[in-house]
Amino acid sequence: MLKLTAEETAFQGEVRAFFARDYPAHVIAKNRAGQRLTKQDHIDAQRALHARGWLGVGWPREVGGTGWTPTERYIFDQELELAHAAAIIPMAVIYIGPIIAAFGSDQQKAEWLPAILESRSFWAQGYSEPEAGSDLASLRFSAVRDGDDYILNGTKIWTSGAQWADWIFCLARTSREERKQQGISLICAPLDLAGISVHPIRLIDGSDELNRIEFDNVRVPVTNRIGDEGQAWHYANVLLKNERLSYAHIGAKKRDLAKLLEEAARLPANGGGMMDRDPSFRLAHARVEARLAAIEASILRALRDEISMATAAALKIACTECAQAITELGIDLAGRGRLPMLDRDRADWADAAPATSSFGPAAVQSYLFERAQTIYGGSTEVQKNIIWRSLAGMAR
Amino acid sequence: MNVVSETEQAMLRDAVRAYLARSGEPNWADFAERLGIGAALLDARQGAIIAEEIGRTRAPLPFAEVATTTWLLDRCGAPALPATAIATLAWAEPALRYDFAGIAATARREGGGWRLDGAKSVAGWAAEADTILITARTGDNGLSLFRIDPAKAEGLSLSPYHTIDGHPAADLSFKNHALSADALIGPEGGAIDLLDEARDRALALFAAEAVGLLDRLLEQTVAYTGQRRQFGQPIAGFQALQHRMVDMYLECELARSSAWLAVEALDQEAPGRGRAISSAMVNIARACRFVGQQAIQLHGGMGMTDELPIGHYVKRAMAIEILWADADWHLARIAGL
Repeated sequence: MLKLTAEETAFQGEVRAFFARDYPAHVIAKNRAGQRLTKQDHIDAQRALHARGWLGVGWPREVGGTGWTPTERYIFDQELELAHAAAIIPMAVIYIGPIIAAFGSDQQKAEWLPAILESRSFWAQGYSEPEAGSDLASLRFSAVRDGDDYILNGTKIWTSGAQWADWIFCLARTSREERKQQGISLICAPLDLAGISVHPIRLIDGSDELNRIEFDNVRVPVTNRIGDEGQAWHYANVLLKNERLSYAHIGAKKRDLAKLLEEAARLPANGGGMMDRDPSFRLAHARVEARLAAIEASILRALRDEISMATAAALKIACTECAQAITELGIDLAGRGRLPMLDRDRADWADAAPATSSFGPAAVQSYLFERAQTIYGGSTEVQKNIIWRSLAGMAR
Repeated sequence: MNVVSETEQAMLRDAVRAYLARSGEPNWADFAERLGIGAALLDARQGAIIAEEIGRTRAPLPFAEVATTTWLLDRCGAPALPATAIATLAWAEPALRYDFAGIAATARREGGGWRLDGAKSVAGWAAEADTILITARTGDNGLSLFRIDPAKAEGLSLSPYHTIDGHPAADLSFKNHALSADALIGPEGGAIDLLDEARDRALALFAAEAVGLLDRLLEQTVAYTGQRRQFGQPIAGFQALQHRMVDMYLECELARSSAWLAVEALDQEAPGRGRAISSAMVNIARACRFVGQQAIQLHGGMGMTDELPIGHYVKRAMAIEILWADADWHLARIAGL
């Protein structure tokens, strides 16, 4: 499908060999068994990638990044996912790292970027607020200048991984302007400062990796601001443009579809036999597979050309809905096996329901968790507004 | 089936609603005693009213389990249980999907009684039950029903946990578990028709419960989108979202009709009854899926939280979709496959 050059084919082989040989096997084993990863697991995974020079994906070479072409990045992402390796926690590596590299001061680059690559610091993203979700630009989190400091006040919400993070980057209002997208600055704070409190949010799948963070008169030096005052909206959009294909996760979708067939071969069907021979399941599975083929082709097209905002929005919808369709196949395949709600923090988690396949309890939690895909990163409804603005422009 | 007047139905609904509104964590014995629901356990029309109210509040009560078991005991001429007792039926097994033909647990005669071997998966309320009915193969391979007392634990291992809807359940395993002669309920080797009918009766109650759940999901979504403001207005002001909620309403209406169809079909003989119940459940399953997904989506991030009731309603709906059979099983039954 994707015609790789000789160099790209060689690169793909290198990446595949790396995950088979030089990557922590316990992380892959836990992922395969549906056990939740710990922070230490992620550190182990990041260190292995960093040792190979492959953690700074999307970063320029001069700050320790890979400097990959979009195709190389795509090959890497796909191999990582197919290998059942840990998804790179995006907040530091994918989201803020490239912004620091592009717009940060020399001091910020020297301090923050190596700490990220060496897994000495984890970051959280402070974007959404209780009253600013889909309408992010209406955010109210404030940074008021006081001498050489800013005083931060407000609430950030849906902050994933804050319980593991050392730093947070926040969109903060530094002035009131005519357009609500203006007057927003990007300001960073260590999470252990006085006045910051982190409150975990338990989700419907039983996880509590998301948080609400309260800032009560938190003082940070002005040097914690990335780039110019009032320019954060512009920086965030530059980032979005660079990372608009990072949610594609084609490898993960292929991996999950293949896993469904493996599981189906172990699950009983009505009337004897196993579910991998059940026509209804197989047709539903094939339908999603066909959809994924078109989505993969779209991503490959997008790798080669500049893509419009509308195309990016369409791909976000297609990719996230496809991911949800795969989890839906999972709970449908599991049948009654989806019922037990088990705690997947321990290695022996599945023993709690010894007469039930461990597939169902993991599948139902994926299904529930992935409902968020069409909500975060710009909800499907917001993406449709973007696409419509483009269509309406065509009609004029 | 008794015909209960509309006034009596309304009184029953009001009584259940009032009870569930004031009791925070209702327990079965108190619920059954205060409401005097003995008769409703055997009358599906009354049962449907109770189940719908349970759905509206998402009260974790084993109503359908107790009603189904009570009906089986009654039909088999076995001694009745007090209505305050918890009783459940354990039929599902690791090596079957939904068809009773796959049941592999066995009971063999030994001395004056029986010995039970096998495993049961995700048996609702089994650890809390005073009585569990177990399906097992006997003699000539026919299906039989056995009544067991989980307190007599020798040869029975029980692993309790909670299901996604917050109800208790357990996996059971029997190894040479001794039962007395009178543990056999109903005809030896002839329980399959009884089980088919018990399933249809349970499904009718779950369909009614789904109606209560789905109505609440829609009501809560309409209320939330009416107060949630983004882009300078309540998000319910956006036509795209209005139409989505209208689609939810359409599913709720068809679910309500389906639940009514299911209860009324219980008077019919087997093939017609099964087709009607399955038609109802195909619609119920579709409504549970669609309304549940949209309720979360329209609540945005808040819909993902354990704190809001939305997710809990969705998860109960996800359980009801498949407790006895899934939509594909029902479609196959309608099609006669």
